[in-house]
Amino acid sequence: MANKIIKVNNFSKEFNGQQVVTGLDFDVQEGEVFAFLGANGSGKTTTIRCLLGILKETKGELLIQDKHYSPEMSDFIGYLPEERGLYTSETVIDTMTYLGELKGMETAKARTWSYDYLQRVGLGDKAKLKIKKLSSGQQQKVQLGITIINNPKLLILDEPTKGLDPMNRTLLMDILLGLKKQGSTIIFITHQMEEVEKIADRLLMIKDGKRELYGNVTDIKKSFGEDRIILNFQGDLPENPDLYSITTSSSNAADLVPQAKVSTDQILHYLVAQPLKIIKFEVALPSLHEIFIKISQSDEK
Amino acid sequence: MKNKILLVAKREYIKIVKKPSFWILLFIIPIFYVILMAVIGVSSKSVEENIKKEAEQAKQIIVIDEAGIIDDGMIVGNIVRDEDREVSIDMVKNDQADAVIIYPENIRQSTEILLYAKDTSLISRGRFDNLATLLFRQSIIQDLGDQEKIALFNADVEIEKTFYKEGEEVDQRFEVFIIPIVSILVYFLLTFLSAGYMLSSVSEEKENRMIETVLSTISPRELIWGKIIGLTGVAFTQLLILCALGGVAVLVSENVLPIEIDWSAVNMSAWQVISALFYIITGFLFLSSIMVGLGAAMPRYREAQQLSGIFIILTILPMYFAQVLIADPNGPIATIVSFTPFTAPLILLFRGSIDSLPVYQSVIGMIVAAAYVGIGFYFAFKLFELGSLELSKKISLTSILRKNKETK
Repeated sequence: MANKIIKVNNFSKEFNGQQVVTGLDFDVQEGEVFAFLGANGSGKTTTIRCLLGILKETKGELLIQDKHYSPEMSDFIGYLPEERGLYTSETVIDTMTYLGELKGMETAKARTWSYDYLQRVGLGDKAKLKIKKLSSGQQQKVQLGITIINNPKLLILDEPTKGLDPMNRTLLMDILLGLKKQGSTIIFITHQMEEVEKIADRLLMIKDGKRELYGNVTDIKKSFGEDRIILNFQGDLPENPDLYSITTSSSNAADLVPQAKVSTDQILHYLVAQPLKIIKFEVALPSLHEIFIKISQSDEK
Repeated sequence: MKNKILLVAKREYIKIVKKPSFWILLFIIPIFYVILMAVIGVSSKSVEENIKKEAEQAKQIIVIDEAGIIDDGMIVGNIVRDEDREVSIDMVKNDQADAVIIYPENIRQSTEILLYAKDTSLISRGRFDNLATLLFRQSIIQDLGDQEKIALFNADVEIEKTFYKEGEEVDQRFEVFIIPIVSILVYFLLTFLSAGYMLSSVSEEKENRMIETVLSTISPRELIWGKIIGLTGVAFTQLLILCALGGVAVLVSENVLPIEIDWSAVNMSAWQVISALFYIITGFLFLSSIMVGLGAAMPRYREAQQLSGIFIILTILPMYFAQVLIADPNGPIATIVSFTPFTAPLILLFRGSIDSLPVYQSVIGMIVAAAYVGIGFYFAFKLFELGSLELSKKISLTSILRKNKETK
């Protein structure tokens, strides 16, 4: 079993007497990609800020490698906050080197790494320019560089793709996959469900500061909704209300929802026995997007 | 591992010192003061000369002596006698005479002289005052008939003064004021320039949205201390340069200009030096704590800068009652403002430099100034912790007390 790099136990946070997060429990295992989901204002950023010691928790415990956060931990942590900026009046190389030094790197090492990174992302000739002379896309690349300058063992990203142009989004994904391959642990807050489906191993979804979903992505999808069968065929699709209901259909495609206590295998056996040519029979799980919408709307109902 | 406080200090120091504006301000401000003083001196002298010249160049000044008091010996040059008030005043109105001076019949009771003159400018309205009283007084003294006494009356009398304080003769050489003037100049330059840098430094990280990234690598207290150490380094650099400039000014004044400085009058005890440095440092730290709080509480540099004006005015408030302080440096007003926030370091520094601060008050002053720095930084840290992440709204004082338990 993998080691737990982050442990959050019974964490609560209040602002002005208003409960923002209530009794939150979760942990993150070493080497996994962990998605942190929730609507705006649900308490995700507050949780991360408390984890990184920027805010103080009202109750509970937030531990990184079994210890409360201390600035020395920034030596192995990369953090990209939601509100991110740069020292616009300073040069690219000075800013990157300074942040590298704050993360415990030697000046020469931080400088060399920065030059290499800038070369890699096509900003080699911009190193000595003031940051305000760069385009917003180029500035985003510098921000990403600062986040990973210390080759972090733990990467925490708060809405990393927010405001990124497609090129930088691809660059970020490449960086994340590279770090994942290296064994880094990645936690990211996002509203982009397709990104979660693409790279996350596990997820935590909170609503109004409380845990709604937590666990393996596939398990959550399985546990969450009924199976749905996507069927492509030639011939006439028979109706059988005892086995399934047809939600959408055309002349050669249909979506079937199994009745209670009917397995998808039973339906497949039944259809194979019919005068029907089956081209595709796919058991689909609900998408995270659907789950997110369903959870978000649950109170409204 | 590198000390993060020193890293921040180094960055702050280099960032400011490499700015051309730092050097321009550092050289320009003292030069500006010197030029300003010279301009004020020259212009006031030239105003005096102009007034004198106008009076001398007057075509005709009519004297109407209804009291029969003006001696004939005084009626010389462009001064003429007349008896008709209306005609004489009309001559002034018609630009035929510059002034009419009337000594009324009842002058012994009223002691009032009437003057009618052309209005050439606001500042030269008093150009005939001296002549009017001089004619009057010289005529009276002529009646004495004793030429020796008249000569003595008209002589420039010099008064040789000797003062004693606590049984000791007071040194009256102008050089004794060099230390107080330099101390106060240094205080103003260091505190205001450095406090301004502190405000822009705190606001910059907030306005640039850099603060959260920085705070994930260093604690708020370490960050602020780093800034303070960096800016103290800047302050000492300023001090060294000012000393060098002062040295050049002294060399120029002694070797090029006809000014001789008697250095034996310029002395300070070790206690005065230590306490002066203490007051300058605490003054700088206290104002810095205010700037940290303002920079953190306000979302933008411009808003913080506007609000900082109130605190700057509070700090320079003693300048408005400087005369009272100079006249009575041990009086109740001086004593009160020696221990009130904002004014304490400057007044203690001033009183200490003119040797008017009893040792017990100096010690209390040090404790009070240090306490204000402590209180200032307590609130500054609170404001920073609360406000540094509030990128679009202001932090109120009540929220500091309310949220006291919510932040680290």
